[in-house]
Amino acid sequence: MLAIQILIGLMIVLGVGIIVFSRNIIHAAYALSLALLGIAGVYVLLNAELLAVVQILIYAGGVVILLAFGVMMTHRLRGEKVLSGAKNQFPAATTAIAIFVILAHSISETNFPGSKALEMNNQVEHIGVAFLTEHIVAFELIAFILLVALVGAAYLAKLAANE
Amino acid sequence: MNEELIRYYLYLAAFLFSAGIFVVLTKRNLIFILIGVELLLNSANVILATFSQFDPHLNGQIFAIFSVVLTVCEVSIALAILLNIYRNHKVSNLDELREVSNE
Repeated sequence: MLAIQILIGLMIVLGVGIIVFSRNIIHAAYALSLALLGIAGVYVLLNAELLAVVQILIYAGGVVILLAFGVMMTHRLRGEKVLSGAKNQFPAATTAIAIFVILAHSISETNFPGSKALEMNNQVEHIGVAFLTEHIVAFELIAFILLVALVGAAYLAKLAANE
Repeated sequence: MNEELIRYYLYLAAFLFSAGIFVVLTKRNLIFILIGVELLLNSANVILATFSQFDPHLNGQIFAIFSVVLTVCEVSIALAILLNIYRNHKVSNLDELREVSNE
C-alpha cells in the first residue's frame, strides 16, 4: 500500500516536473496527462472511485486532447518544435517556493483530531442520490452552464474559422 | 487513514499548487498558462477528496465533481478565445498581444 502511494506521488512529481522545466508545449500537455492520471490514482487510494473515473474521462481524456488541438490550430507545424519562452523565472520561483513553505509549515503544525475514515461501500450510489435530491439546483445549473459554454465555444471557434 | 497519510496528500496538493503558480507566472504561451491553471484546480480537488473521507454526506467529492465540470467549461471557452486571437493577430504568446480590437 505504501509502495503504491509513493509510486503515485512520484508519477505526479515527474509529470509536474516535466511541465515546469520543459519548453515544448506538446511535451507539457502529455506530462499533464501523466500527472492527472497520478491524481486519479490518489482518488482511488482515497476511496473516491467516481471522482477517479471522472478525472480519467474528463481530464486525461478530454482536457488534454483539447489542449493538444489548441496547439495544433495555433501553430504552423512544419517540422519545427512548438516552444514557449519563459520569463521572470527568479521572482516566480521565489513566490512558488515561499507559498510551498508556508503551506507545508501550516500543514505540519496542524493536528487533525478524530481523523477516522468512514467505511462506505456505496459511495457512488450516495453521490448519485445526493445529486438528484440535495444538490438538484446546482446539478441542473451546472448542466446548463456546460451546455451554454460548449455552444458558445463552438460559436466562437466558428467565427474564427470564417475569417 | 492516519494523520501521516492526510499530511502526505496535503503536501502533494501544496506541491501541485506551488508548481501551478510557477507555471502561470513564468510561461508565455496561453496554452502553457492553461496547463498551470489545471494544476491549481487539481490541487484544490485533491484536498476536497481527502477531507471528504470524514464527511458522511461526501460533500467534498460532490464539490470536486462540480469544479471538474466548471474547469471543462473554462478550458473550452479559453481555447476558443485563443483561436480567435490567433486568427486575428497571429500571436499565441500573451506578451506579444498588444491590442484586442480588430482594427
